[in-house]
Amino acid sequence: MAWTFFNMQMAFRSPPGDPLRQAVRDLVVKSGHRHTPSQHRELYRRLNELVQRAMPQLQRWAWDLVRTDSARDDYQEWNTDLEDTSDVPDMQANAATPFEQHAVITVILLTPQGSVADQGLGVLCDLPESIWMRRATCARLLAGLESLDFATMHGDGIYLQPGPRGHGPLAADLDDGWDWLAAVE
Amino acid sequence: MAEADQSPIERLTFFDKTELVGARWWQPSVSDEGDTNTPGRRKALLILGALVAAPLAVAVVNHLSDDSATDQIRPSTDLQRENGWDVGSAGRKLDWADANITDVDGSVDWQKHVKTLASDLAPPPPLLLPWALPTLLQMPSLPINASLANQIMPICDSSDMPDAWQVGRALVGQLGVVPGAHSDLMVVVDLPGPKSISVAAALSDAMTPVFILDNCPHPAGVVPAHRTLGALLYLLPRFLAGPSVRPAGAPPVLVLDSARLSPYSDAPDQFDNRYLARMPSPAQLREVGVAHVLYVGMSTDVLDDLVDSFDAWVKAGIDIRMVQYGDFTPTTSTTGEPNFGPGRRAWFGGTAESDAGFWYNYGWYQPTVPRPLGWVARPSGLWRFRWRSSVFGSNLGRVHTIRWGGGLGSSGRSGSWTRTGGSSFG
Repeated sequence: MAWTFFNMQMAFRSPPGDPLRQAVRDLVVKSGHRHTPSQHRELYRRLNELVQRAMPQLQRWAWDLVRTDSARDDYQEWNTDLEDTSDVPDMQANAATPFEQHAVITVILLTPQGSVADQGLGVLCDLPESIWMRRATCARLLAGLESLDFATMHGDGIYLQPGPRGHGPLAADLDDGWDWLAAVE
Repeated sequence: MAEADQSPIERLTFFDKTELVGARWWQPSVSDEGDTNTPGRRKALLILGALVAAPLAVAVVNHLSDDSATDQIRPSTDLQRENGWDVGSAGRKLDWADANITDVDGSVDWQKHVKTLASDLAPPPPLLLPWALPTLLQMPSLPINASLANQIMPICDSSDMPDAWQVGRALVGQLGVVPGAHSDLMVVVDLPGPKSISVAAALSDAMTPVFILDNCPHPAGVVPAHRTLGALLYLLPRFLAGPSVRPAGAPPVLVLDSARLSPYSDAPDQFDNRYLARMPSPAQLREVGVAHVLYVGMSTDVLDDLVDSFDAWVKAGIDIRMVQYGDFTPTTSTTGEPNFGPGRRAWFGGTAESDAGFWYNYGWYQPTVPRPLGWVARPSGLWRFRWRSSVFGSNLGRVHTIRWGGGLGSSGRSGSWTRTGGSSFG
């Protein structure tokens, strides 16, 4: 079976206690164990609502639509890496500069190629390269997620790093450990 | 499919820690056997065998491969109910060749019926109503399909529909020479959509139309269902007038679109809106007194999805015979204008003499017209037919391995990122 993998990773300027982090955390934590596709779509609608408000805080980001043979492996590598917190470095040293810290929000999606969700992603991501890294593009992609057909989505994940009270990476940390994130245009 | 019937999206992992908040979900019904990151291997909700038992037009959501037993298979019409009639091709227009502003009577009253077609043309309860499968008629009434309702128009294909109307009138004429006797008759009209509609419209003076049209138009549809719908709108006045003309309890005419099983082979730029016809059971036929079935087809071959039903009917003692559409010869219009009046009819066999011998070919009724001098029974292949013994289910996987849409752009990847993600802050 051929797969499509989509990811978005967004680094927002966000100090500990930032309402954005708290709101995203509450959304994920209270989202429940089982959803209908409509409920799941509502989850993404609310995520979009929250994150759009923070769009001015967006500093760096990356996105990708993968339709190669590696799509499914990429999805698994992503969720494995994201969920393995054993090697997360201590960011306590950044406590002195809370307003220089970032929070990273990640969305990953996996759907069979040819599915309605895949077609939706195809339309959503059909963008000229010249605008790939714009803030408005980030907002558009995020807003488009809620229109996807989650009935045909195989898997998806929403992640926030760190949690509401944790200390996040500074710009230098992003340069070092998140170097694939590009500055927003 | 009602959402409550769908497989739920289940949460697989969950984190609410200082360094990470997150959750990951998966949907068992959209799965494959190689998924090592899910709770276990899951089989598909539907397998092809199940589809034989529950004949539905289906859409395969996933790309099918040889080991596709776990692919998700869903009725195309479910997707269109959930996502809109033009799912995957939003914004693309239908082909409206031969479209008209007005119906057959030059009226725009058809516009009032676009969203009520299914109820306006429903066969009478309680016996015939359950036979109907009027999905095509229902689709414009759904709020999500408002753009379809706004787009559809009456269609009159002058190369087909007037002639088909005449064939219908010819059958009405034949019923007229066996008054009352045909109360045990059912006609199955299985022609390309607009033709079937035209024959049925003419027949609706004498028989009760039961629509078995279980699909929906789509801009990239394999079946041009919108043309069937457009033809229905064009001849709507005839259908609406039928109940006041035909006798109460008039026998049924089943109306099918023979394009429902059009060839298709996983074309990425096509949407599979084909369907399998659901026929009434022998018991249901008995309830309304059907003893004879006249199948009106384009050839002597019965479409494969009817074979099982026909077998069951025959075993229940119901005699099934056919007449080919081409056995009727329409009269030529002198004006060149399409004519859908009651006076225009085709002739069975091409002449009035051969037409008078119609029922003598079947032996079901004693017509009020004498057998023509020199009448010879038509070759049996033309009026008595066989169907292939092959089981349709053996073809089902191929016929219904369906993808839709396409035009998604080139495969590969786009976006800013070329490496896998990590959780390291360092």
